[in-house]
Amino acid sequence: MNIWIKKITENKIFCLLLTLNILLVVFFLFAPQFAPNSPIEIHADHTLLDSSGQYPLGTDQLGRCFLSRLLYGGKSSLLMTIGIVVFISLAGTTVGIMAALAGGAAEQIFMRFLDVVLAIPSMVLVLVMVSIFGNGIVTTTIAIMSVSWITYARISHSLVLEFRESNFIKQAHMGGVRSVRILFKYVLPNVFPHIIVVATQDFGDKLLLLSSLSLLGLGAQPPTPEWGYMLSEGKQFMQRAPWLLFYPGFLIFIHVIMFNLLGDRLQDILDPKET
Amino acid sequence: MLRYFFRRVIALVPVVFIVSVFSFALLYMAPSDPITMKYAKRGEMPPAEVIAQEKAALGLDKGFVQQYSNWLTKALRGDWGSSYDTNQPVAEIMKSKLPNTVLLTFSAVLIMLVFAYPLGILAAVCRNRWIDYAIRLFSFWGTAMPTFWLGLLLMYWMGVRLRLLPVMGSGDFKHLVLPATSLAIWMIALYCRRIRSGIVAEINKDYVTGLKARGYSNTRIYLRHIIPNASISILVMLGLSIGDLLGGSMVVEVIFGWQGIGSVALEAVAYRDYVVLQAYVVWMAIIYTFVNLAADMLVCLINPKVRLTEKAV
Repeated sequence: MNIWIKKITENKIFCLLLTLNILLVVFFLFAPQFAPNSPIEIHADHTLLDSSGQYPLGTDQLGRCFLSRLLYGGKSSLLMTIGIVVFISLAGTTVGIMAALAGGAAEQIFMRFLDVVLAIPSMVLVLVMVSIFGNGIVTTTIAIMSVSWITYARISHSLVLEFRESNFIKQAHMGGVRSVRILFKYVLPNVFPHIIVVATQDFGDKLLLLSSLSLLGLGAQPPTPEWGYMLSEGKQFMQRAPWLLFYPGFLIFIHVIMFNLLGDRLQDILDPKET
Repeated sequence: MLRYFFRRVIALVPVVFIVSVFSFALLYMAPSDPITMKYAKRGEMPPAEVIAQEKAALGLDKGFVQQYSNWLTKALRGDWGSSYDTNQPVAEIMKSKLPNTVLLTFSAVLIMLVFAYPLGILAAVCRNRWIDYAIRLFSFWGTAMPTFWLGLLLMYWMGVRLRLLPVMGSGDFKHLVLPATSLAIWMIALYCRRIRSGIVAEINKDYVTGLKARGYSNTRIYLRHIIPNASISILVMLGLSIGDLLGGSMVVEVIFGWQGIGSVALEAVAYRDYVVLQAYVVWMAIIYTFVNLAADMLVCLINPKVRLTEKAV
């Protein structure tokens, strides 16, 4: 594990990217503090205004300050995305490792079952879960979680299988090291770096999924500002107020690209075989 | 080859079975049922006995297994029930909307193939030169670009600003261009990177050196050997991507008002119209599994390794 940390801290570009990513997310978590106006206060006489001193980025169709809405709009999605990625990577990895350790018929049946679930496209599954749990940002988050841990379970399962057959584990067994110790000392430290790479690369995907569900009206509910939903509102006014389309999408895009950069960099460091 | 095909098809039976049980369980456990929904829509609530009677007439009071077998026999005959919301037979809705979604996704795949291959090959041939970096930059941009935002921007520039293409609607070719393009760009970006790395991995193999030593032209080596070999993994990946594409098409369908199955499913979620949702799940799973089967069969045709090991088994 220490080798990985050393490798990571030695990579200057990675450290820079990591800092930028943290700054970006932390900024949007605290951005509501900087909002000049209320994000939900409606002004019927100020609709679809261009930028001005009072409204730096103009107003939307209900006369709400667009900049304030943008600043408020990231918080819930970003928090939920972080929650999703942390939860599914931990839960999925635990389940995958447990399945691999259980072995025998139970492992076979369980992994087969996961294969069958994956025969349904994940977006379709998420939609089904939303129909059961109901609309809303929290229920949509739960719906995404309930489906996407499977990927991590499969990855960690196959990683453990790979290690189980490798010589250093076999030698440890022959040397009389206890199984629990092998798990914590040899298996987990080798599985985690891969999972962290996958989770970092997954952040952008999950943010996109969450915002597209919000755009479809299944996530954040109005009047709560949310980038995805703001896009679907802006769509109706694209002729008069195209800025309603530009900024929310751009903010989502920036977050996705930053996390993809970070993930790719991390992969180069931890898992350099794929170039 | 034929044996492999049959084995694969037989392996699909449990998959389709479990998916059907799963989607039936969705309907079975759903908080809404057709009778209550019918009355709720009319805005009146008859006494509980009347509802129970009508449920019994439809067989809704029976056990899970009994209801499932009833549902399955009907579904296999093409009777998927009627929508709670519009009362239209689900089979009819599927028949009118499913082809549109299939058309949209397959056009996206076609656009992807037309652009991703030349770009990926170009990047691999000119690797580590400016053109390679430009293509890699594009691919990086494309994979991070939210499909829905790209769709909206295309709609704004092509439809509203330049007035080249219709903004919304469905049906003819003109309406297909924008949604298919917005779905395809993400895939082009993803696949040109994969094609590039696939080709680069092949270039350094011994057989390429051998072919060069025997005096074959570069073009021939690329067209006859490197590209087909690199395509094998691309094909498998393409099969798996269809799932994302079918799901992702929903957003694009809604944005562009394309009359596909995705927008139907979204409405079904809004109205808790579980009969429609159920058919949607089953059909998506069927399309997804069969596309993957087709991809594997193609791999088997191209790659003698798979064919031979399959024979040996």
